Amino acid sequence: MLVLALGGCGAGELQLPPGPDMTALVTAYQAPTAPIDVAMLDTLRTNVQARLLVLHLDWLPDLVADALTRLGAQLDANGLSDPNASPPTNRPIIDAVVSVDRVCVGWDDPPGPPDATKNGAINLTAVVDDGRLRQDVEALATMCHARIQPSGAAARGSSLAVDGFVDGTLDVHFYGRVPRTVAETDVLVRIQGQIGVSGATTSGEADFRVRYPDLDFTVEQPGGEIIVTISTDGVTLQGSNVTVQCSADLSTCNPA
Amino acid sequence: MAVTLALACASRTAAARLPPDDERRLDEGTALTVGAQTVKLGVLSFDYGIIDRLSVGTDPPFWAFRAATSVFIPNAHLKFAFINSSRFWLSGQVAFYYADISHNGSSGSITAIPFSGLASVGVTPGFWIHGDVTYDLVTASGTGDLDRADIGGSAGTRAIQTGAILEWRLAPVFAITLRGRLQVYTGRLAFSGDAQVDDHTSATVDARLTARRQHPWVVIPGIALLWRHVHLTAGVGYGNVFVPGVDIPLTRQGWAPDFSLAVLF
Repeated sequence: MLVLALGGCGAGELQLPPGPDMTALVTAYQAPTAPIDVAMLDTLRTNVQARLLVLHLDWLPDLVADALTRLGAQLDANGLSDPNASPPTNRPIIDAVVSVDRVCVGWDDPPGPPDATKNGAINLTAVVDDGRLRQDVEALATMCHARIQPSGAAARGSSLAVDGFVDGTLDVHFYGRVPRTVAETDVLVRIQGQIGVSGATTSGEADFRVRYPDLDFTVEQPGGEIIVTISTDGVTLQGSNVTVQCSADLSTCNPA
Repeated sequence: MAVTLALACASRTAAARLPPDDERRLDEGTALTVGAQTVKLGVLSFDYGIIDRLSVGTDPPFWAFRAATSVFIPNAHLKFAFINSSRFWLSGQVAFYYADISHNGSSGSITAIPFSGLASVGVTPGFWIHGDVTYDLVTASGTGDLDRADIGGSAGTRAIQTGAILEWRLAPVFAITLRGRLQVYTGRLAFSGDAQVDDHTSATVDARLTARRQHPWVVIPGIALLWRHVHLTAGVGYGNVFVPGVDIPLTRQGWAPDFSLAVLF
């Protein structure tokens, strides 16, 4: 269960890694910068659907959230504070680097220990700086094969498992505390690398916000970006001038 | 058996000639020992004087800690007097404290070994100066719950402390005391460990704890009542409370009580 390594050799020259900077992306998700031309909704719908194909929101957020819950469990085990939680001033100052390695479940799940070589893995590195977990953490997905049971709003009630694949870097920004359950997840995710499903992967960069079960992502439009929200009520397109409410399959859209 | 008894009696007779009286020694935080063949049961310390120069003991409050928390802290200490002349004592004390801070699958522990050099000087028969220098050697292994590495805001970090007690013996059983303690150096405590969270997940934690107050101090005026079978010391001062025995200072600064009650036989 446990492997101990000796520590405590004096000063403990711990170097805290710089970590990702997600300030610009966080700002982009605060408010839409592009207007929606209501007369061009058909074009916009096509753009949104194309973006959805790239983002794999039906399963990717569940994979990320699952890994983050392991980080949350480890923080609990080590008595470390969450982001936004003020560290108690009557306690020692804690600096820490927490690294969580999660072997992916693979596309089949035979009995026995997981095969890290075959399934790949996700490594999450979180930094506790002056008693507080930094809001931005970085992760590295290495040939991660995972059969995911979609559960968020983007799954649209489908119970079909998806064979997902990720290979690249993931940066995660926490809006609240690190989730202890998938349902607690409220994070912004940026992925660079290969994403896809069995037999179809693409390279590129993707970002989305998980406000479980809802999801946000941005779509570039002339003049900036609009924010698209997928919730259990349907899809909302938020422009700087107007909000448009669409059905879950984007077949119908009307200004709200 | 007879030889042992004879040695013990000789030791007691010799020690009885030494001021302060062997049954009325201020032995906590000083170079003086509890005395040969003497058992001391106190709220802060249980001690047994094997010979006049050598005593062993343990701190019951740390054992009692288990009743209030899940942290178990076995501990022991040993004091040896290198010099025990009538006006000058020079002693060394070493203690050992072990705390298991394992929690939720993360395992870790802290070991604290305070080494103390103590000197007691009888300036006059009624006025003694006691001083000590202590190096707290603290090591950690694994990670565990880092919150449990904290005692009142201070981690059990490596530290160097110096302390002094001025003792005015106004009567054979009564003394006025002035205690002072300063942590002159505060180190950091590093943790490093791996844990297997579940079949698919492992975690590595590298952490460093730094005490919020680098130079805690305390000054406590008080009294000592040293009857033959009962020793009572009490006082109230200001500063950081130093946990008796392990001498870890609490972060909060304010009124600092000092109390010890022991029965000797």
